Amino acid sequence: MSYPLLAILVPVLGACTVAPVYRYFGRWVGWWSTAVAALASLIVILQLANLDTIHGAVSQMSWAWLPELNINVSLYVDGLGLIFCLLIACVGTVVLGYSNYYLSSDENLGRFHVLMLLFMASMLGIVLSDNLILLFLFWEATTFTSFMLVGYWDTENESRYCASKALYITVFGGLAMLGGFVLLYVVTGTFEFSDLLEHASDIKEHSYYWVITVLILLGAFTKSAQFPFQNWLPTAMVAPTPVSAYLHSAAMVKAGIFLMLRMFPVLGGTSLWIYLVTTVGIITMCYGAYHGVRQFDIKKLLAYSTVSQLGLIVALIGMSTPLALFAAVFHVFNHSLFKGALFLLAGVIDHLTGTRVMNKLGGLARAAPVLALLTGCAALSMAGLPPFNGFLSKELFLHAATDLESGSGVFNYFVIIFAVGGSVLTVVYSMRIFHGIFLGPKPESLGPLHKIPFGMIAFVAVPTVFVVIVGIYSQPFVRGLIEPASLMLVPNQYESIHYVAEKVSLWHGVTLPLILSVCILTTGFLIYGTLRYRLRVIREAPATVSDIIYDRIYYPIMIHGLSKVYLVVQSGYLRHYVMGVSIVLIGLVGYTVIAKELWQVLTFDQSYEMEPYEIGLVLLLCLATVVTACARDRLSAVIAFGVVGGLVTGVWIIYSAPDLALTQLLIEAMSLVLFVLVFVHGLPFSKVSFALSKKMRDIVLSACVGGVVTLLMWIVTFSALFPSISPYFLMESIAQAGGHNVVNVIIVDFRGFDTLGEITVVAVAAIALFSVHKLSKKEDEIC
Amino acid sequence: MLILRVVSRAIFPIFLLYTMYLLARGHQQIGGGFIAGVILGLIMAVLYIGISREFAKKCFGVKGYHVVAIGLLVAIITGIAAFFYGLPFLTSDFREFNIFFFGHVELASAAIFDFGIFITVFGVLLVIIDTLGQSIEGED
Repeated sequence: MSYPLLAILVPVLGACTVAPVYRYFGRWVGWWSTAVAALASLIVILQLANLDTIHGAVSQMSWAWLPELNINVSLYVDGLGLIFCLLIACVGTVVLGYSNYYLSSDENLGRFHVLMLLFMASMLGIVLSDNLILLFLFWEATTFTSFMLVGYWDTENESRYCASKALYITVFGGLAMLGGFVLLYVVTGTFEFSDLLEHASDIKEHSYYWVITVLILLGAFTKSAQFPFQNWLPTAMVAPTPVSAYLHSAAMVKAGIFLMLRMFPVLGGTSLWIYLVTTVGIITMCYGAYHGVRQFDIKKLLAYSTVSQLGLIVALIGMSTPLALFAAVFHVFNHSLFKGALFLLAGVIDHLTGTRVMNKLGGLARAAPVLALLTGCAALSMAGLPPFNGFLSKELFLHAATDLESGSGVFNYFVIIFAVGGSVLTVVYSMRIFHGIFLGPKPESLGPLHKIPFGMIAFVAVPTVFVVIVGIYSQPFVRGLIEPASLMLVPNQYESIHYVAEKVSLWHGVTLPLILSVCILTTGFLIYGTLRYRLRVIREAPATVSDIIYDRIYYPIMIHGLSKVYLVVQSGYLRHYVMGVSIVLIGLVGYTVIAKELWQVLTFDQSYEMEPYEIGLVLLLCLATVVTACARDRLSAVIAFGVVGGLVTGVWIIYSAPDLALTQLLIEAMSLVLFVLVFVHGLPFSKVSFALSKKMRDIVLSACVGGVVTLLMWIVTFSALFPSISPYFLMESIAQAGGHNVVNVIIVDFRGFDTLGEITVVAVAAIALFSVHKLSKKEDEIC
Repeated sequence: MLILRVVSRAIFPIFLLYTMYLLARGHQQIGGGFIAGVILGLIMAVLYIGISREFAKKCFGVKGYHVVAIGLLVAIITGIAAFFYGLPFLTSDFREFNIFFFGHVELASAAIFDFGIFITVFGVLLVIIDTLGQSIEGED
């Protein structure tokens, strides 16, 4: 068993053990899942130690899953994947540890930890997959688990609305991305990322290139909350704080970034990529920062700041120079640290004061000096102040923005102006968090402060300490993590990446980026100074364009429009479903017969003579069918139908299909029992009468179905359109599966996958029946 | 009713054995997981109608949805097991054994999958019968 697969499996297995641990040990389940996450982190770190960091060595492994469809469980471990793994596993461990203090034991801790661990596993899956379909599955698994986690407090309407908002928007992008993957497959004939690398130049010249790129970028933009899809992220703040700290700072929103980085060697660097991605990123950065400044809820402010910071990273990926890509990876790393810390700190402040509204907060530094210190480090790192890690990557960002090689002059100026503008606003909202909450006057409305558990602070301190360490001793991190990861993006640019990496330090002389940094910080402080008092009277920002589009157009279509379609399609009457299936059958078979002129193959085999008992059986069968159709009440219909079934069993026996005969007989018996139970349940025995027009419609429809099926039987019996598959099964069932009962061998072996699907459907149907029953019972109790 | 009551008690163990027999020989002769599952479900229905819900429940002593879950799990694990031999999902294998008393026997991993089908089908019927039956008693 290889390490990377283990890293994915450990959280999955951990999630499986959560339920029993929760049942027997109660709230200790939190520490258990923290330990599982820590084990996963350990595995990742061991794997990192094995990695040849100088060359960013890649290891691949593959297990066949559905090889006929080119879908395999194949992993691709490189510097890029591992740096994301490190963030996912380690931030996950810290967040899970922290959640032990955050969530009270009255909550359903079991569900929380199962979902968190499954989420961690699927994130690790995304960054380690080689096969794009596997990546997509993990991608959707994160969407699903995040939906459940955002809606964790599921009794509140707002929670449910926000969770579904995140779901609808990201699922839309996910489907677009799947379309992009399929087109990539059409172009190259492979789903494996490692093979795509060899086709990179073909893909870029292909006429589908722009479609593929736009579709895959849609997936990345929706997941990473880029303009105009950013609006799900701020509303997702109804989630418990540990969820926000994990999903909305370090993990899920970085999945889109990861996809863009991963796809960069295949799709990136073209002018479409540069213009589209940079523009979207830089607009998102300013837009998020502007809205961040106007927020009052700490968590919402942090959410908009995440939108803005993600925009910064996306813009860097769009710029496509080695320097910009290096800066992008570095900022992903730094942002996870300081933003994770800030989200956790928001939870601590909430715990301390009982509120997250910034108007009601202020002057907390005296009461909570440690908290103030930690928040200061993280917030100032976000603002881009030395000596914290945010400064380093912010400098690189400014350097990359001023150093654009490609693109027209106007575009370059546009990028620089927006980059500087966004950074100034970043300074303003960072100051709001630090200065607004901890310094300045203490509002009188603030009630008594609660005690903060030591452990809570300890877990918050971990990422904050790294904010400072990475800022001061940047070289080991840069050389060990960032450099090998960036090398994966531009494999043949070792010199330039290495050159950039060596130069990362707090002080590198007076350069243009440094001057810009100083200007940005000064302007930011000045703006904050003048706005500080007026901010308290600014009204909450109005609804954004994206919100209006979502609430007025997308959501109504999704909910009301689709529910109308649903009501038409799912009428709830069995006869309507049967009608639908029949019409489709008539249409398809009829079309094929006419289009392929199949009536020409019809012959009549005169030589076959029916035995008298066969004729009798057929006549009886016809009679029973007519009786079924003409029955005046339901009970006689059911009984007559049972007779039909029994006679069909006779047919199976005569034509030597004992397996089918036995199955048919049992099913007849079973349905009779079930019918009786249903009748007793309350379905009236009485006769059902329909209007004549409906009866005529039914007669015509059933005559058509009968005719089509007869035609079909006739065609397949008397003509050899295709070679029969039976000899193959008869021959191979002993050789390949060691079974003499061919029917059974087909069910459990040759067509095992179908059978698995079928029993799953049957199981779901049973569970649906069970829950419908429970539900109707509950409603009765309420009434 | 009395006859049904007596007979259904008597046939229960016999039919239980018979389903096992059908299940075991399914790969070679008529039988298999689906058929065995339906027969066991029928026995459940007969006990249910013949004696009482409580008795039927006591006989099986399990909750239907647990059985369904276990059955699906068995089937899926059989599929996953192939991964450990580096083979695609649900690949099956068989070996021939000489077992004391039974003589020459072929055992296929697909038989375990079949067992999963058996459990699932039985569980589904258990859920359906129990649910439908419960609502009858609720109405009384």
